Amino acid sequence: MALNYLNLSKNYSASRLNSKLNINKVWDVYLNPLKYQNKINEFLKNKVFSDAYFLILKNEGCIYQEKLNAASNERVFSRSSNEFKIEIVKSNKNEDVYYLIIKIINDIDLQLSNLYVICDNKSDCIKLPTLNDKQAQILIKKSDNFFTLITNPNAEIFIR
Amino acid sequence: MKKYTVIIPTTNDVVGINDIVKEDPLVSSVICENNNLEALPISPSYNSFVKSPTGIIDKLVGHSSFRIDITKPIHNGKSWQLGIAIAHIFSKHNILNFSNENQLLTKKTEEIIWASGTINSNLEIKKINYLDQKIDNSMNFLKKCTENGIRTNIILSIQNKDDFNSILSNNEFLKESIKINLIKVLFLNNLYDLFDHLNLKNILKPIKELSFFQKSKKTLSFLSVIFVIILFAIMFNNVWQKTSPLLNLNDNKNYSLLLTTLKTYRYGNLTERLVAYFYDYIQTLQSNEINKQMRLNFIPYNDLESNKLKCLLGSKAIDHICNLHLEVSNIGKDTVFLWALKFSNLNLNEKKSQNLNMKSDIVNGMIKSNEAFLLDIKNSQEPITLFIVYSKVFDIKIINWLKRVDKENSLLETTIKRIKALGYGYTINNIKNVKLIENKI
Repeated sequence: MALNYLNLSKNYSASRLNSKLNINKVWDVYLNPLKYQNKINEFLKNKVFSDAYFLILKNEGCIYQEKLNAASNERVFSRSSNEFKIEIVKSNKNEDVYYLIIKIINDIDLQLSNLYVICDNKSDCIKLPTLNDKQAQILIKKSDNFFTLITNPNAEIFIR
Repeated sequence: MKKYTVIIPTTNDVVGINDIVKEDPLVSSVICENNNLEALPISPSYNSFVKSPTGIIDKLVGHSSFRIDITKPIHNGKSWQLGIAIAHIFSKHNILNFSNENQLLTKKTEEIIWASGTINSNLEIKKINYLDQKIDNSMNFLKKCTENGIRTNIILSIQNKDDFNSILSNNEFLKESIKINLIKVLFLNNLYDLFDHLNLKNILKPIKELSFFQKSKKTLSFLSVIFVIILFAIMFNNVWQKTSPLLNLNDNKNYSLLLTTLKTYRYGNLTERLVAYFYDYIQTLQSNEINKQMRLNFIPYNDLESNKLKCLLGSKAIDHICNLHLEVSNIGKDTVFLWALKFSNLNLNEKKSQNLNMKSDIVNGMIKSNEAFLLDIKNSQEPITLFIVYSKVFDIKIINWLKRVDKENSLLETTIKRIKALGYGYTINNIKNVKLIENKI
């Protein structure tokens, strides 16, 4: 299966990658997301890695929301697909804090450990807590890059 | 009102509550440590504890989503339920004093609630484990409270009483503090008992499960009102459909059809009977009103000086030699028209045999307010009946009805019914040949 992605490996020459990223690494990150939990955001800063990684995610299994056909560039606090819904609700305690509520619609066999957002060549990842009644809730800060990305209507969202 | 600081003991530490905030109902309730962004692992359990129907906090305080911040993390277990429930109820009634991150006791601390227990949906407090560890970990805190003269209420399930007593037997500090009333230990069956002990009965009253009908009381009341309004509208429409023809016939003075219609109504369906009843009732009221404003006064007289004494007023029986005047007075405000028929009580055959004059003796006139009308009733040897009809409007047909009665006395009853149905007043007086005057009605 990995052979399908070998053409991506051309971009990973030793001279370009100080972090020793290569196709094996991308594949390893895909297969063992928990092992790379603390490093994934660092890896995603590399555009080639993120392209390869999201291509693998899309093709090999994840739940996904594509870009919204938004009429404006205003922030989006609620979005849904056939697979999952996202609600972003402001906290009453702190104006800078929001609740990100993820509701999975159908039963899914995949192990869902991370939520990835990619928008305009920028990406970010957040670890999902254990799903409770097909629902997970994460506290996020308005000032974080993740908030900026996930509320952007042009963002694509992957959960895997 | 006194404010309480709620403390939850754990097997590692004592935990204070530093904030409780209502959140959007979409949000699952969370417990965080000191305003951090990360929800503690017990958050899903806390959410179940809050949200109805599994939880009790929603039922107790009327809101389903909270963020609560505590001073130290709680990773597992359920003994936090009692302290958290008390904190929610106190917070709702503004008698909860929050702790700070590094300072469980603040300047505002007046009294401590140290609580450990689980609660079921009936608010019964259940036994907890590791009480000895929790007491041990709380000793420094309890000592600090007693040093500051702050009373601590230790709240436990009654099922933990034996455990606590065995701990107490080896703990001089607790014994002494209980003796001097700086520590009070309450073993409770349920949450209501705590509020009884703290004289806060009004804050927590037993939860009454509302039935479907009680919950829907407002909706049902509204629907009932709408239903009754619709019912009345339909009834009013039906009644109006039946009443309007009667009113039209009355206005057009089409009495014969009016009386026929009324007769049909009296034997018709419920609505028709109802309409006939009300129509009759209103006409009777009108008839009684006219009758009340008419006064009849029979005045006997005789022009001969020798007979004058025999014809004085004051008795119903009048000497046969007396003549009779009838004074009809109108004491009301409106003008009244009257038609008076005097007819013999003899039957038609007798009249013919006596070859009496068959011309009707009918008088009609108008009496204004506070005026009188004088009728001369000529002396007669035969018994006579005086039938007088009153109306506030002039009705030419009345004279024809009276003529028919004069010709056929048996029509009197029918004519009376007709007059009553039209709302006219009437009086009937029999004057016998002995001139004994008798009011028939």
